[in-house]
Parts: sequence; C-alpha cells; structure tokens
Amino acid sequence: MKNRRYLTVGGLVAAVAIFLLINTAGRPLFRFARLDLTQNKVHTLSKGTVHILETLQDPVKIQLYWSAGVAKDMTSLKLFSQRVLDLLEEYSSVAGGKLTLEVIDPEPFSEAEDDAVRYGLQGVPTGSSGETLYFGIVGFGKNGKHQVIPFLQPARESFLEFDLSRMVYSLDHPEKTKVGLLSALPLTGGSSPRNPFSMEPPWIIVDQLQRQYDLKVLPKDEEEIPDDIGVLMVVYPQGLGKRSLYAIDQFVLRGGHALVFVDPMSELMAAQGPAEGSTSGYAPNRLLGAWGVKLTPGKVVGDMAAAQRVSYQGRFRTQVIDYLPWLAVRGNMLNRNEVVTGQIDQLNLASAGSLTPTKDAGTKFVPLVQSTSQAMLLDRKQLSFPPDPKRLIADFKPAGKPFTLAARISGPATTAFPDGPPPPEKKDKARKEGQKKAKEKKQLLQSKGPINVIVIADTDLLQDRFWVTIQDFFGRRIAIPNAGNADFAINALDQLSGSSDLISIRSRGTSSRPFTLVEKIRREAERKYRAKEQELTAKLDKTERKLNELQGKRKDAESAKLTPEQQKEIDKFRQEKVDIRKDLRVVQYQLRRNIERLETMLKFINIALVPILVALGSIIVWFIRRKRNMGFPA
Amino acid sequence: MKRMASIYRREMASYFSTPLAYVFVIIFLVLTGTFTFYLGGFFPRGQADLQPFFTWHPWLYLFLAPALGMRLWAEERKTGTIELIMTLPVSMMEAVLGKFLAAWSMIAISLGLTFPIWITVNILGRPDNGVIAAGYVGSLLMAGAYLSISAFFSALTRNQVIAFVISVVGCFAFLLSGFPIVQDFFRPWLPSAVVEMLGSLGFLQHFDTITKGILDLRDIIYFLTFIALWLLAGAWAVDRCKN
Repeated sequence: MKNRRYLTVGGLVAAVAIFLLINTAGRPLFRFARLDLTQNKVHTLSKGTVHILETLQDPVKIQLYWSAGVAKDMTSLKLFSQRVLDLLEEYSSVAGGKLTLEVIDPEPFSEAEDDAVRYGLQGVPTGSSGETLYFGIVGFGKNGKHQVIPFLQPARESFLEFDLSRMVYSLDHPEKTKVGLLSALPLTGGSSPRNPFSMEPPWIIVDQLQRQYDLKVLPKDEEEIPDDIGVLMVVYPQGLGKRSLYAIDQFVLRGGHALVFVDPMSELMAAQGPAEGSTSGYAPNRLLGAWGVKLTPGKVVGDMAAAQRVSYQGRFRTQVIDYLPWLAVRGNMLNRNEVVTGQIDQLNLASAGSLTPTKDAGTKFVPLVQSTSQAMLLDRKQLSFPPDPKRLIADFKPAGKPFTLAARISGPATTAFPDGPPPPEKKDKARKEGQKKAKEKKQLLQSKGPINVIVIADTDLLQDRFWVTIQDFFGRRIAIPNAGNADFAINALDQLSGSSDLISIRSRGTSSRPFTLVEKIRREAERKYRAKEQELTAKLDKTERKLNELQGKRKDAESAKLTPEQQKEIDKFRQEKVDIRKDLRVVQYQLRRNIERLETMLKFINIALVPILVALGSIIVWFIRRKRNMGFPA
Repeated sequence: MKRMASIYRREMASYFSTPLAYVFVIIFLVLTGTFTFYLGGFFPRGQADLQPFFTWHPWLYLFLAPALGMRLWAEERKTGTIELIMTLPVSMMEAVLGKFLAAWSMIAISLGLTFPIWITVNILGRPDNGVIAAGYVGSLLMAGAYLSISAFFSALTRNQVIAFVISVVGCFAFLLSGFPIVQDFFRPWLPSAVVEMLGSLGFLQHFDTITKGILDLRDIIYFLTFIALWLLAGAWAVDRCKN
C-alpha cells in the first residue's frame, strides 16, 4: 500500500468542504449545462420563446414574489419555485440584458408584502402559524404597464413557459388584438335558461380569450361589425338573425379574418329541447357556401377509433362504453403541418359535423382536423335524448374515409346575399339608426382580396365540461385543461391575427401517452361482442313480451292461479330468460378477458421470466463447475 | 488503473463464484417487477411511461445497496483477507474504487436485466424513450450514491449485519433529507441556512429532476462528488482499521 498521506481526518474535512462548495455555491456555475432528453424537448426553451426574447423592443422587468421563509417546510413547492427561478434566469440570459429579474421575499408586514397585495398577487395562508405565502410574478413593460400572474400553480407546471412567454410578449406588445365575439350560445354567462333567477358564470374559454385579446362581445343581433375588430369569432351562426349573417358576410368580404364555429348539433341547445338548433331556418350553409364550404346537414361524425369512454346507465348495470359522437382527437387526426394544430396534443369534440369543399369552390380548403377512416356519419336523430351508445356501436359501419371536422379556408369569395341585404326585422325599432348606417355602406358582392376563415364543425368543444377541470383554490377558480380546446381556439385566433411566436410554445403540457395496444384490443373486442349483445338483448325483450302476452291472454287474468299448461310455458320462457342473461354475462366477461390476459402475461414476463432464466443460468453454471470439481462453496 | 482492474476482476469473480450474484439479481428483478405492477399500478394506470417503475427505486436501493455493500470490507476484515489486500502493490483509492465499481456493476447488470419492462412499455404504447433513458441513468447514479455510503460503513466494522443496519440508516437519512421530518430534526440546533443546505443535498431532489428527462450537469456532479466523498471516507476507514 502506498500514498495514503491524504487519508487523514484533516483530508476528509477538506474533502467535505470541497463537496459542499461544489454543490451549493458552485451550482450557479453549471446552471445551463443540461441535456434535455425528452422527445418534445419539454424542458428546453422553445423557438417561439427564444424569438420573443431576442426581439424584445423595450426593457422588461420581472419581479418574482416568493415567500421563501414561509415555505421552508413545503418541499414540493420549493422544488417548483426553483424550477421557476431557473427558467426565469434562462429567460434573462437569452434576452441579453433586455429582461431583468428581481426575486423578492415579501416577509410578513414588510413593504414588499404591501406591494404584493397592491399588484394583486394572491396570498395563501399556510400551516398553523397562519403566515401568508406569496408565489407570483409581476412583469413591468414600458410606461410602467404591468401584468400579473397572481399565483404560480404547480399543477400548471407544464404551461409555465407559455404563461411566462405570454406575459413577456404582451408586455412588449401592449396593444392587444381586438377580437369580436358574436355568439348565439351563452358564452358570456348571464341568466340560466333553466332557471331565470340564477346567473351562470362565463365559460372558461371567454376568460382565456380576455387574457389574450381585447375581447369585444357583440350583441346577438349585431348588424354591423365595427371596423376596429381585427378578428371575428362567430359561434353557432344558426342561432343568429339574417342581418347578423349579412354583417359577417360583409366583414369577411371586406378582408376581415373570421373564426367560425358551426355545428350540426349543439349538445347545449339540444339539451334544452329537440326543437332548438334549427331555429332561424338559416342553415350555416348559406354563409359557408359562399366561402366554398359545405356542412353536411343533420349528420354527426361518429368515430370508432377516437370515441371517448363514457359511463352509461345500461339495461342491467352502469357500463363504461365508447360513445361514438364524442371524439378525443389525437395524433395524426390533427394536421401536423399547420401552426394551429401542429402542437395540440388532444382535442375533445362532441357531436361534430363533416365539412367538405363545394364543387365550384374558388377557395383553398385545408383540413385542420380530420376523423380517422374508422368513422361514419350518424343521423342527428339517433342522438336525440337519451342516446343509446350500444346501438350506435352495433349499427356502426365505417365509411372507410376520414371526415374533415375543421378547415382553414382562403382565397377569393363572393357574397352569400346576391339579392342584396336582407330586410330589417320589423319589430325592431330601436335599431333604426343602425339600419341607416347599413344602408349607407355599399354591399360588397366580391371579396376585396383573398378571404381568411377557419371553420370548425363543432361548438361544444368550447363548453367547459369538454376540456377543462375547474379547481377551487382558496376561492379562486383555477382552470386545469385536460385537452387543448382553448389552445386550439387561441391558436386559430393568433394565426388569423398574425402573431405566430406564441403558437410554437403552447400546449406542450397535456402529454398523455396511453397504452395504444390495450385500447386497440379493447375496441376490437368491444366491436365483436357488442353486436352479439345487441342481438341477445333483443331476444330477451321478445321473450319478456311473450311472457307478458301469455299473462294477459288469460281470461281470469286477476287469478293468481295458473293452468298447468300455462305454467309450463312460463317456466320454459323463464328458463330461456335465465339462459340469455347468463349468455350476456359471458359476453360482458369476455370483453374484459383479453385485456386481463395481457396484463397477467406482462406481469409474468416482467416479474418472473428473467429471474427464472437467471436461476436456470446459475444452475447450469453450478453443474459445469461441479463437473470441474469447483462447486459453490457452502 | 491496471491494478484497480485486477481488484475489480477479483471482486466480480467472487460474486459469480458464489450464488450471491444470482440471488441478488433475482431479488432485485422480482422486487422491481412486483413494485411496478402492484404498488405502482403500472397496468391500470394505462400510461406508456416508466414512472411507476422508477418511483420505487430510491426505496429499493435503500435495502438492496446496503445488502450488496455490507460485505465489501466487513467480510475482508472478518476473514482476514484484508491483510492480503494491504500487501498488494495497489493504492488505497484503487482498492476502494475497484471494489466499489464491482458492486456498482452488479447493480448495473440487475438494472440492465429489467429491459423487458422497457420492451413492454414500447409494445403497449409510444413512450418517451429519452425520459426512460434518463431514468436509467439517474437510477444508476443514485444506486452508486447508496453503495458508496454502504461501502464506508462496511469498512467501519467487521460485522456485516451491523454494517447493513447502519448503512440503511445512513442511506435513509440522505433519502429523506429533503423531507420535513429530517429538517425538523436538525432545525433546533442548526442555523436555518445549514438546514436548507442539508435539504438540497438529499437524493430525491436530484433523482426526480433526472427522471423527468433532464440530465442536468448539477445533478450529475452532485452524485459523482457524493460518491467520491464517501469512497474517500471509506478509504480512510479501511486505512484507519489497519493502523
């Protein structure tokens, strides 16, 4: 043994000191040396962020309010705060001096805490001591304009970069795009249709739009779209009057960009009554037709490969079953080459329609969202309440081709009102002034340049329940998206309003990677057995009917006594009923069996197979050694 | 280097000439598999990633690494073969490192033999293989950290059971040091800055970052310096007992 001089207590103490120095004080030195191994580079600043930071025009100051002292026992929040700080420091280094960062600990009763309250940060009372914890961001742009993230939610960690970049971007571009919202659905809340005395809150989507844009809600009977509107968002044009449709038509022909949500069946309206949904008689096709698009009327797209699982109260028990018209749109169903859909992970649609270009269309039709080819058109009536998901699956016949659910349309177009503007509604006197204005403006018959419109054949995707979970966080509504529906709408508005940097950052969060194989097995099994189940149920219905008939046919129906002959018949039927029910149970059991078998096999392979092989290997080695008289020592 | 390699080979041969290596690998595989499928709910969770697999590694190593590390020096001391090593023309660091690397290789082999789970998840869905690769790297680095602690305690005693128990306690402290339970223990008698620092020196924080798919130089440096420090301490302990 040689050179052991350093192996002294003093040497060890020095080593500990070096270790601590490297891993505490030295940490900032290695801050940006890291390798992001994730497929989508989730932890690396995206190009959009880098571009926003590099092209900052005016200095931006970011203040991070973080109650480090109060949070000393909160390990996970501390970890998250570190992540936020790392990210902000990276921002600052990319922006090269244009972005300054300040970390403030708003201790209780300090001036900093007053500032935090003044800027509207959310304080959260913690633990037994009841101290207030702040964890938010205030950003300052030019002219002292500021933006606030009241509380940084760990649950929104995957949207962190987007939230920060959006803040920086909007500080640098304080003038927001003016978006007009013309909707026949109650997006902005208001009195409830079911109970006129209660008020409904606005949909989350409106809240999201308001954060991003200067959102102007136009009245439902708007007859003239104001000139300062940059992008017009139209929801459910079926519910709008002719004059409003005319206004939309003229707005688009004038060169205004529009995002239009049409729907062959709005679940919201359908729930209010079967007559709803075709109110004005003006089908959206009049408007769409002028742009070279057609919505297949009265038909809803059902997709076997993208159907969502729903809980369904069946005849015998509650089942979880695929509901064909509710789609979880993923993967290649979204056009990956388009900025609007390129980054979206999942889109939830409910009873969406099919869009096709018209034969004589002069416009370009680019599908953004398509169904799989395992899809068919369902009749709207089949979905009238209550729908029968089992029957839909039993009757399913794939069309073998995908249907387009959303599309981008550009090119020259003509007016949908060649016979001039529709006459004003008679009863509406208060609008006289508006009519005059409309008359003054000359009707455009042809678009001035190419039109730019995005059409989505579903309105339900905007409803909260299809894309977002709302959590109550100390009295504040926190929205946690489980699908990219809002991102989709915002991407579309962004593209139509021209800012594309933010699009590349958005929606990298909901990265669900389901077991595709299991889903495939499940769908195959389900399709195979569902038809059989349907057949058996019908048989059971028939048997029961017969049994009832037999009971009713008796002259002395009130008598509880049965003739031996009848008794025999009834017994026979009852036996049949028992048998059929048994068959049904077998069918339902088989549905689960393949998947259970797969699970058992995987468990065996992953828990036992390799150990068994290793054990066998060791026995073989042992034999060989014993032959050589070298067995394992005891 | 050559001399270290010969120590390494001697150690590896001793693993495989006894049932020890096989038993260790089998226990490791059975436990990881069982934990992944039963405690981690791998299948009902329905997500094509290896999170339920890696989540349990810190807790598995808590017992498996000391089980492997306890014999590193304690056995040599008990059987007296440590005298033999001392007479060899190798430096103390080479001897310590060679033995440590052999034990680390055992864990690497065991970890490598979990490949069916990687194949499984790729058949079931489309996982992010970059994150999985990072998870394996992180797991191996963390196993090294556990082992280095065990090697140190093994050098302190000639009784393997004692070495095992102390190692588990030592590893447990570093596993939990980011948790309030350990911080509360230190808080009354240490300044809060030191407590904060102790918290950031725990395993979990660094392991978590790596399993998210980020190979951060800071985390890698942490694990490597951690291993180096405990190996140095181990060398010191071996040297001390000899004197």
